[in-house]
Amino acid sequence: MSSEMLEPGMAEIFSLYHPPGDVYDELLDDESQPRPHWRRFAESLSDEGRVDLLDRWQTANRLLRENGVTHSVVGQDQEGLRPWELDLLPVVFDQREWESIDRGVRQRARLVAAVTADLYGEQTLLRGSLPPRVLFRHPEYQRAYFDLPKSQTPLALFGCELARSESGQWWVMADRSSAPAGISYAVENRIVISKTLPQILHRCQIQRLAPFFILLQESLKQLARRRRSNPSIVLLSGGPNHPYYFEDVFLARYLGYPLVEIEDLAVRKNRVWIKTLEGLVPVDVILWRSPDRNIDPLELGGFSPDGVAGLLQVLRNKNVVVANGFQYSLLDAPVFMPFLPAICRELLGEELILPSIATWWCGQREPLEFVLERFDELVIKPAFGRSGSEEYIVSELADERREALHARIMADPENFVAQEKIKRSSAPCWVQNELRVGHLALRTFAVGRGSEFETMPGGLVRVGLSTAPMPLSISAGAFSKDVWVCAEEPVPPVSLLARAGGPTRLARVNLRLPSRAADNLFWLGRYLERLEFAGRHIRKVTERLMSESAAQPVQDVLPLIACLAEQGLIEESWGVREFLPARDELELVWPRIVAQRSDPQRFGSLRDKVYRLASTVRDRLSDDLWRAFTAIGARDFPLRSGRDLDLSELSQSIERLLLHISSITGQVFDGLVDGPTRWFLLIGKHVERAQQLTGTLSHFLNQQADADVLSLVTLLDVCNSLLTYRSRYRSQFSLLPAIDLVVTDGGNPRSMRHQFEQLRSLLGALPRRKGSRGLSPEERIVEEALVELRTILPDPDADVEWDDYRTQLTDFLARCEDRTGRITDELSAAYFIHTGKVRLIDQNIPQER
Amino acid sequence: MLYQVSHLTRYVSETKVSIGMNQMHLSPRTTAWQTCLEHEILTTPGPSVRDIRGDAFGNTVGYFFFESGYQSLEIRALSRVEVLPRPRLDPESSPAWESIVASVERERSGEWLRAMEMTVPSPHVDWTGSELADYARESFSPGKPVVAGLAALLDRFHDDFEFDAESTTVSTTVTEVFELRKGVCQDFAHAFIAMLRSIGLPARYVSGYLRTHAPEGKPRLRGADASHAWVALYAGELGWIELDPTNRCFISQDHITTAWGRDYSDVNPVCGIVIGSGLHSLHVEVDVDEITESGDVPLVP
Repeated sequence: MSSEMLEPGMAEIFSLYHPPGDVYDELLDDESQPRPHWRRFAESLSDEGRVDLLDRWQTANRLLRENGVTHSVVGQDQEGLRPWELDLLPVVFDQREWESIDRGVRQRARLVAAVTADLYGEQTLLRGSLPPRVLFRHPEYQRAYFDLPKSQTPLALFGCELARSESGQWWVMADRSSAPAGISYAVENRIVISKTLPQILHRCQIQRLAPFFILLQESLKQLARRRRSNPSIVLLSGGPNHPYYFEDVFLARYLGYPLVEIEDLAVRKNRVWIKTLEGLVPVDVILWRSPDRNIDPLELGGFSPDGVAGLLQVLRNKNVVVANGFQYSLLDAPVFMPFLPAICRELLGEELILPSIATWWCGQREPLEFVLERFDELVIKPAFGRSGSEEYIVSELADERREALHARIMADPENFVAQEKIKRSSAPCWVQNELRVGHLALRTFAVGRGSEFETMPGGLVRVGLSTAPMPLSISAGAFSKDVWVCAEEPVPPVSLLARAGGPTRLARVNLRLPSRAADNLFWLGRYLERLEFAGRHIRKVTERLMSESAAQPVQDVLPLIACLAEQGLIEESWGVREFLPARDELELVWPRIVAQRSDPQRFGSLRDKVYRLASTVRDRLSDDLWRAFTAIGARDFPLRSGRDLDLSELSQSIERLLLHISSITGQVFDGLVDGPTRWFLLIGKHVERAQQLTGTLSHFLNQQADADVLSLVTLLDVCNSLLTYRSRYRSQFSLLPAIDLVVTDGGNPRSMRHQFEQLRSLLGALPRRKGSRGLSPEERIVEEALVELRTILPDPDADVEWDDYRTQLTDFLARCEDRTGRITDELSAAYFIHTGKVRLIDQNIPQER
Repeated sequence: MLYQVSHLTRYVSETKVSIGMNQMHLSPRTTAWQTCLEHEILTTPGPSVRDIRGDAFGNTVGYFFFESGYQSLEIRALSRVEVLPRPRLDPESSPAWESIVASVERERSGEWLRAMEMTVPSPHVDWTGSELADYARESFSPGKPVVAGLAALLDRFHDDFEFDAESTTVSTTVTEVFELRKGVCQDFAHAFIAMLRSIGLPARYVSGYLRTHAPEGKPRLRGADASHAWVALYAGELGWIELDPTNRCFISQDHITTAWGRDYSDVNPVCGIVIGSGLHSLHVEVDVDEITESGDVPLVP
């Protein structure tokens, strides 16, 4: 179509939009005229102008990156993470059209809840509309969930994946009732849009998303009958190794619930508890977002001890509520779709409002024959898989694979369904300053409210740039869009924060830190410090290699290389002088050796480790602090570009890393309130610094030639104390004052003494062990170290000879080697492990002959 | 026949367990041919939480939690059960096995529905990729009356499979058992069930006890028995026909039923978890005594 056909005032950019004629277009009607509900948006947009749009698109996606909005698996490596991308052009719905989706989704949610309840209870459907083998062959059908009280296992959140076909009809592509994904991305998109296009959003009178979440909060609160006034509600996540962990973190923060993982929970006295620093804290409602199947090793374990032993019994005794529990995973499988219209009539006495995409279950003869006849036109999926896990577009398969798939179906037809392909509707997308046609997958959500549901006035659109079937995973598609449902009247502001009624009492320190989080914070502190120390060492070695000609020896940095090699941060064999490459070769291989990620201990892998640990405590970190960690974990960090760097690039890269680390450290000191998060981060940091100092000093004392000024300068530099030394002693370099500065001078934050003094006060702040008095074992280790440091140098004026100092220091360092390990063990036993490991006891095998 | 059954399970750990939780299928069922007259589960130490309920198959399940921990745990299940003789089966007049397969696919009422659940693979009974069906079809030739087929399969099975407590573990699969041709009663029950299900017949796993007979002229050893497992096939009007592949017999009055399910995983007599301890030793003693009118034995010794 041409621009002349657009009404005056329409955005100039839409004149460039040419949708294909064979699909339904969201923006343009059959006469290529904009649909009425898009006009206000188009007008507002044309006022903003085109150049501006590119700028705002960049801003929006920078915001998303900085907020660490990512999708896909964190896994072993960050490679699996992709940034979430947002198109500024929303998909606009008028209220009337949305109402039909709204009614359909609400009914669908009621239906899913009713079917699940029936199949885990009366099972009337098995005598009616559902072939029993659909249930009996379903791997997610767990007999242990049979007859769990319905009041304790509600469906709180429901997700529905939709697509619009050529005729304009909406079809349900998938139902999502166990941990519906996409909900946080929908909110995050809206937040970013409201920061980038605030005026347009306002002018278009877009319905807000916040009321949906207020409903969810209220609904979960209602579920906790036991403690209605102040129930304890937690969000259970599958943890950082699961695909949508970002969503769980976001949702927990947005709703104001603690984020827990399954290891944080335990059953005692017929209730569920969280293991925290101050002991066990009871839980009333769990919003279940973990996809793990092993939820109770007592009843479902098989051979795995994972899960919360006794949880099902607590549910049966009605002492906890699990919302969106494991039993809802049944209906995520596509095998139910062909039967839903009849089931809906049977269970609800209603006609199904939103039809499912045409689906054939191969477990019945006639559908199977039909599928085989039209094989090449269909999409084949495992019948019982959570739809989206695996799918084949038959027409795209090579002959060999097509035959193999055919054989798999024939070997076990019940295990497969076939679905029709659908040509999704199109909408304009603004991609890299160019208007393009995108094809839409819409996901929206419903919240349970008693036996009714309410639909989110909005959702998430994923965009494919072709009409090819789009996988159901949230991570599929080129980018995403916000969904705007226009209201007929101006929309009042709502927020989840400003609610009536102030806090009841002041709370200064919150000890309800899950033990697992304390553990991760401690190690985050340690690895962050290790990253910094190693970074300083590497920077120093690199600088020296750059500043000297290839013929000049660099004796002074050999202790640093030994220290790195000893910890496996670089090639271990380099710790032995004979295996170290010759000076000229060293210069060539050094950047590659530093970038190595072959081993998880390597310096190159350390950044990933820090990022991963930070992501496990994401809910404890401010957005700013998290942004700093995101920068450390960024994929485009030069050190991991995959190509070999030269020395100066390496040096710049390390410089940048150290800058990010100091920004994090600054925010930890300056921004974190006094409480367990800060304590454990800093305890980890000081323990690690003491350990790193011990290593560096030991290597230095082993290798230093007397009065070698260069070696002293190097040592002071990596300990970040060179400036202080120069200001005190100018250029007079000698051993005693230099070593005193990094060992016995408590005023230097980089000194050994300072680490132990800090540990003394931090450990003192931790909650006491039950029934214990006096110093804790880890405090005693710290005191021991401080006494020894005083013996080395009683006071600054003491008349001490270097030889005596050196002898005592060598002994001290030798003892320090296991001190840091012992402190770690003691902390771990007292604060991180809370309850022991769960073991399955020997099974009682019947053996009668 | 009147029986008294004592089933003792004892766990000993090296150091004190801080918490223990157990799930038990130890209570005899009451059925058309069996009445559980008295039943009790006693534990030392006593449980901090104790719960008895029915499971998805109608079995009685006990939950016993020990939150004060223990160094050793003793679970003693004592039952008094009356077992009636089963009606005699006439193999040749029973319906053709294919008619059972057809009915179980078609019928949706009551017991047929329960039977259908027993035709699909389950955690310990998965025959995919094996030749179990071919083995079964040798006995279930076309048109063969179902009970005659069962009897034939039972005989062949007993000839081909050798009892060997050393050859398998709890994680040995039916396919492996079929290849090894060795195992214990649990393996035999699983393999036999897999054979029946693989040709479309509904078969379930039955767990319970067997009365054993002392060797000629010797007193019966106390505590020498163990829990036992066998198979039941649903044959419509004939009901569930039970047979013991380990002992090559159709069930009459020597077997006492505690629970049934798809396989062992549904009816494990005693399972559980412990927190905070190392190695365990397990000791099991089962005694099945026939009670005669004159020599009544008290339930709790």
